[in-house]
Amino acid sequence: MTGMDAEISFEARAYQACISGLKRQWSGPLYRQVVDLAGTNCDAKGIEQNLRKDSRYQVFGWLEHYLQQFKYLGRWGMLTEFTPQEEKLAKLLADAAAIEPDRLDLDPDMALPDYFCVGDFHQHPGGIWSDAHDAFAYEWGATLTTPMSADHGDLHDRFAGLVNEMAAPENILDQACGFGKTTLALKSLLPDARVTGSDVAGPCLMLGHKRAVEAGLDIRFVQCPVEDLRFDDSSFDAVTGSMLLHEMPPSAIRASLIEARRVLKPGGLYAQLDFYDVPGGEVGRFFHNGHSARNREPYMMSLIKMDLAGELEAAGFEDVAIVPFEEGAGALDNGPDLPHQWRFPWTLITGRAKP
Amino acid sequence: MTHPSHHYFDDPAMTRLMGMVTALAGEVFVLKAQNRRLTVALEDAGSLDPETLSAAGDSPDLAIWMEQERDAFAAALMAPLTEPDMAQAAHDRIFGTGTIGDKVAHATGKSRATGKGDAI
Repeated sequence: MTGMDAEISFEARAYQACISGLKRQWSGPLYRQVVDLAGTNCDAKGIEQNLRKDSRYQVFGWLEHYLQQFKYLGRWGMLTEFTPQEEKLAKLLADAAAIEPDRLDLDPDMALPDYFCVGDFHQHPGGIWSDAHDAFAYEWGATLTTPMSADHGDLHDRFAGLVNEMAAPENILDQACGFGKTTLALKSLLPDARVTGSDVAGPCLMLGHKRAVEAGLDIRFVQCPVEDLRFDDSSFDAVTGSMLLHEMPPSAIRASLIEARRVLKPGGLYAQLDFYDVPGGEVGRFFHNGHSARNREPYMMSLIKMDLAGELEAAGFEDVAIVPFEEGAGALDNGPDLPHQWRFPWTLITGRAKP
Repeated sequence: MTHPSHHYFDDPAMTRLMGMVTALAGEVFVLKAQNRRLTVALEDAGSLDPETLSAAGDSPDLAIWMEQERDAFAAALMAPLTEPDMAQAAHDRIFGTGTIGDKVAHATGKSRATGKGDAI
């Protein structure tokens, strides 16, 4: 796997290929069987009740929940593979942190938000914020988030391209940057822009710094929560993020919008990629509800119930737009109808900071 | 935090059996990959012939491997029968089974242990 220096055994690569194959069966043929079963005559809750006794839906649900666990914790799971390497991985991050150290700003006194540190989001036990091996496992796991995409990196490159088209920003804050997938894409596309990544997870920030150093990209990584950014007012002309909002309760989202507005220059671009506009009517919502429950994503449902446009306007944004996002070629071929394969309802949420 | 329990089948034994089958699938696929890798290596080296293959099957090294692998294989196969929810078990090992407050305090204390420049 390019760019990864944790050791991944041949067996682990083969095992993850097997898990990936099973996930593709789940997201393709099995998903389409459940779509056929769902019908169109009742709401999401009714569909769930009607299908509960059908073995095909039972297997669908089981695979959705447990394949994720095998991915992390099976005999050659990502955490199984990386946890014994913790000492080595921590040293790799520490060694990288010593290179261009002014570009990595960790805050040892920062308190993690409560909702973040006990959530085990997407069933990563202990969270992605704990240790070096968690950051490396998160990076590896991200390549398997979208089973139907041929190239996971494509999603972040596409997002970076849209941000550039909309704003041609010169000073960007990429929030909840994790290990920097979007951050590095932004800097690669816009080498003259000043790009900053922020996150609460120290090991992920250290890994992002390492990848940036390896790629020769000048990116600053800062540890802080989105509800309390460590930047001055009007510091940036673009604030971006991906897969952030659905990991937060509504109160935290509201606080983050106010903070984003504060650090943006008037007219600056706010752009988030997340799971919000669910296609396919009640059947689409049925699948989304199920994923939220089965993959330990407790805030996915509260997010789609929010009036995000209204919240953005209340926080000081205008020209708000919420549109489906094509994460890979052909992903939106079915338009507002159910997709042919299971996919996340990727949505691009944008606004401009009011003067 | 104890997450909502996930039961997808009327018979809870099915959950455990599905886990066992999935674990077995992983084992079989890895085995196929190893076998294929070995075949390719031997073919490339011009070493794959029936006599050599037979001799390898009788080697003491293989016998030792078999004994060790037998136990690891069986443990992995049977794990979902005894602990079907690996994630809950891992979560409990990390956070304990106390109140949310206890878990947050534990998690917060752990995050504060990471200082700038310190080894994680």
